[in-house]
Amino acid sequence: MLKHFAKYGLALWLACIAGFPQYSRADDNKEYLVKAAFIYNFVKYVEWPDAKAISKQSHIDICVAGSSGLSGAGQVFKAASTNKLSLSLVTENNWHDAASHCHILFISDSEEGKLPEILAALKGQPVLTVSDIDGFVDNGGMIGFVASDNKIKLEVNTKPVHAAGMRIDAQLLEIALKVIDR
Amino acid sequence: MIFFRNISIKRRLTLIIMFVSIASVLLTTLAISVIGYKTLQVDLLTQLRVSASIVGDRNAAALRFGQNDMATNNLDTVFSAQPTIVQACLYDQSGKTFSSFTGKDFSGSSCPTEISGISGIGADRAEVMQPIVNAGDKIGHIFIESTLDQLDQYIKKQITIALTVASATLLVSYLLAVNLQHTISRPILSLADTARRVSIEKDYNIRAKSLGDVKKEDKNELVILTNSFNEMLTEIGQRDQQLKTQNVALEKARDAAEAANRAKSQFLANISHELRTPLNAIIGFSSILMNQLFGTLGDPKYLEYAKDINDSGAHLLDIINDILDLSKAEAGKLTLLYEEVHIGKAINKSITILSDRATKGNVTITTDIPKMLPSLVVDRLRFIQILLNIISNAVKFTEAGGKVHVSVHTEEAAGQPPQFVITVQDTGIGMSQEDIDKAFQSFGQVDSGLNRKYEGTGLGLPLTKKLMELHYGAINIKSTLGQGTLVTLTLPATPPPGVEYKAE
Repeated sequence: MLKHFAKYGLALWLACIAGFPQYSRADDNKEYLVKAAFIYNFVKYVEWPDAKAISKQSHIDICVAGSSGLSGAGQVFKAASTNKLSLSLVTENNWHDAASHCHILFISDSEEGKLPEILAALKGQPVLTVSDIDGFVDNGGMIGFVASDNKIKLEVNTKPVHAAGMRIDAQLLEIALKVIDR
Repeated sequence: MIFFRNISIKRRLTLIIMFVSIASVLLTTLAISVIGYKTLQVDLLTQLRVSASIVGDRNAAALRFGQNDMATNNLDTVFSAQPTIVQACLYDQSGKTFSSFTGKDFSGSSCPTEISGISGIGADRAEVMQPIVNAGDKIGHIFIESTLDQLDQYIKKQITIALTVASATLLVSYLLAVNLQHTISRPILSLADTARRVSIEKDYNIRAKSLGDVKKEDKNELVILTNSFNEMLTEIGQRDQQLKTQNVALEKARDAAEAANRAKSQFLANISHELRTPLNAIIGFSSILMNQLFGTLGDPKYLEYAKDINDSGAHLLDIINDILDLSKAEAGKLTLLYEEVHIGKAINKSITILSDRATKGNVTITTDIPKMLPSLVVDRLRFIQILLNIISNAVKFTEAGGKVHVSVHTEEAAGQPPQFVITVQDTGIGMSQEDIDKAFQSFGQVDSGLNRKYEGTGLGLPLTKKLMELHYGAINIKSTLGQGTLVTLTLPATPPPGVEYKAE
């Protein structure tokens, strides 16, 4: 009963954020709650290779590189955790370590300068790279957040995804504003 | 059904067959349509639910990532090609309208503001509202509203099919009925026609055309009916014939009875007359005598009157005797006392009795009697009565100087029993055939009336004929007016069977 209530409560809460994706730059906190919800939902549309397959995990780490508003959104993942799968937001600035334990790595815009280094370190590794840095997917990132019409939109580059032995669901590609696939 | 009353069985059968065919077509179509309509309603809802599931699932990512413009695109892509979709709405987890599609002919419609209501079919719309579940999460709702055009089209199609099939059925059943009704109507019409002809022509030899012999296990009532009808006609014909025969017999019997009745009446009238005439004479002359009208008794006239009274009395007695004999004979109560009689002796005795009268009338009686004659078995007194009657008649109707000849012989014609033939031939006044016929009737004297020339009771010949018949004999008279008369008496030579008689 309690669990059910907790899950329903989270769902409602996430819906509130997702239902009103409009935001202003000034309201960073709210923007990052929406991005956290997006990242949580990526888990449902991304397949990792066998060693990291979600179906074989009971716990996964969502990692954050650098500092951004997302670091304060750990509650989102805690609330979304279930018996079968718990999620936790972890700060990780060592890219090689990230490759071993992170399922998703959010690269904060504070790390824009280190981006080539980070992407080079994770090349071919089954870690979903996500960032709101401009031109992220064009530079070899997997999923990028962009603002359009006061909404958060997605950009996807499937090349590094496939190179890492991962797959992104067609529905996610369908709703993406831009997909790079060659 | 009043409509049915005055139409021929042919048309009635045709109409019944057609009615039944049309009714069955319409009922079948109706049943199929109702079942089809229900099925189609279920199908329509199922289709809408499936559409809702597919569309909901397809828009799961859009819902999860809040991409309502993508969802709207999706809805447009899916539903714009479906003209029966009024609107489709997606709701997010909080129940707010997330994106919607409105059919181009239904621009006035708007999505329900609340997620409630049960999926179903209304008066002109079908609706489905169901949750969108993706990867175990309930991420929103989808609502689809559709027109009932699909159902309406189905109904229209069914009506068109029903009318087409009904028309075709009408035509086919008419053709079949017209061709098949003969098997039932023809025998009945033939029966009706036969019955009509029989009743008009009164000819019971007409027969309905038989459909074949009736077998024991025959189930064709028409065959049975036709054959029974024909049997009935045969029976009626026979009865008719029987009735006609009986009628003829009855008419004859009636005529005979009427004639007998007339004869009796005539007889009674004649008796009265015959009895009155001598009685009048008796009363008249005796009155003269009693009152001594012509002086005191002793006048020779009185002797004459007394003689008249005596004659009249004797005549009256003759008449009464003859009447008694005749009525006895007619009543079958005259019994004959048979004995052997020598026929020559009987004739001679009769002639002796009549000799006085013959002498008086100057009539010569001659006889021709063979010496060797077998004796005759008759009632002696009645036989002499017969002879007296015939010979006295001959004497009576023969003028002075005439002759009466009596002869006897036996006759044995081939194949016939031997018989005696007695003939009495006179040279008298003769009779016409009409007179002869009349003479055999009671009181049928040829010359009737008070002043007749010849005496007699008028019962002689009828009585003679009766007596001859009682003796199994016959009397025959042949005569021509003015040329004499021949009376022939025939009697069987052997005594009648079973008769006891006294030997001579």
